[in-house]
Amino acid sequence: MKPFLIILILLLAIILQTTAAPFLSISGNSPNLVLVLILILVTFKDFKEIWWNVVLAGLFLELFSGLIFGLISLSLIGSVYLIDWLKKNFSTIKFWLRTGFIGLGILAYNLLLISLGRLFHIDLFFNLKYLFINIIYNLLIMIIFFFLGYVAKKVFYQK
Amino acid sequence: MKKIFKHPLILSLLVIVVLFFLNYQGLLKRPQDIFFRLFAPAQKIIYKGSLKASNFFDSINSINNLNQENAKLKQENADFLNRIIQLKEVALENEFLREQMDLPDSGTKQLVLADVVGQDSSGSGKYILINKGEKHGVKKKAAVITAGDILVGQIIELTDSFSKVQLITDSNSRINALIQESRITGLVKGNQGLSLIIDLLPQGQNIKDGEIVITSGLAELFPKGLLIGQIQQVLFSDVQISQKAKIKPAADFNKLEKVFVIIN
Repeated sequence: MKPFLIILILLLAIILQTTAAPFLSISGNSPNLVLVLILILVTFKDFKEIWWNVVLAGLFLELFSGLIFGLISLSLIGSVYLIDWLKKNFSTIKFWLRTGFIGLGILAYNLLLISLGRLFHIDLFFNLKYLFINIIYNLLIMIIFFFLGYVAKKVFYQK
Repeated sequence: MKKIFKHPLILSLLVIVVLFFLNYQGLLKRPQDIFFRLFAPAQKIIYKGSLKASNFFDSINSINNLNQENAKLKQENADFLNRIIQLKEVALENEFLREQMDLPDSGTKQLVLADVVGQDSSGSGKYILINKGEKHGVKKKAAVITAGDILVGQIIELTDSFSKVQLITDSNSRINALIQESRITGLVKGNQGLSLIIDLLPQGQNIKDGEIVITSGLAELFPKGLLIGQIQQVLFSDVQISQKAKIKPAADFNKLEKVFVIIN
């Protein structure tokens, strides 16, 4: 995928995440489009190829957040690196394994963000029910992205 | 040594550290402002569209209760009209007495109208982005309200043309508050981004559901008398030295479109 296209998709995702996504909130959880996109990307590519995408996505998220600068980027890089490291133990990655990795990535991101927040005395909302809904909701978004990707691939291949 | 710095993880951490220091020095303000200016028009359109869609679906959901709600609102309207007449009389009397006693005017607020162009990206805090900044006279820690003097939040970060507002429902927000009828003071905190809690209410005081909570003006962070909400439920406990109560916020934070920043 060309870098320009990745930047464009990330920009679109951050705009939608800060405008439309809050209205789709379930029990205080709104979908994290940028996180899901980056986690999908890392299940297809190596971290060394996409590290700058992860930094850029983190920067976009930081711009629209009121948290201390760096917390989101660090959590994002931590979760992406973890998935990249786990992925290397498997020769082929099927859909269910990819879903598991992404779910784990969302969990790692949330836990890292909460831990870093505690370190800086920032009170971030955390309970197991919230976390569970967050993971399930973002995995649903992932399925939608996969479907859109599949449709886009079919359309462009036909052309 | 060179190999370590070529490792993607080290490289990305280095970039974040550099960006952190640039942000700490305030050097990211300008690029941030340019970024917001570039994308704010698109954001505003999508935000307003989403708000309209959300309102539309809400109205469909509440269509069954419309008759009941209409009757309730008519009753409330009649009560409010009666109260307005009484308050107008009190205001005139108050003005007359103020003149007689040569007391200074209580002062009017200088407001800047702003559009909400986006909400928080992290999902963990409760913030909004508005399209007014330093060049419009907005300052850090300024109070943000909506129509009817309802408190929305406080400015926490600002660029030339944009500001980030921490909503009062954010877990890290603290407001000195006063229960209007019983004159009991307490501290209002955000309750996990969903509602509000008033804490540090003295034990033994009788607090009723439905009482109005306003800003007390203590610490001078927020002007006195801004509406916060209504007491929803008193969380009584004999073990603790103070009482707590749940507050129903007066503002609907999911439907914010325009807000005012108090600049004086």
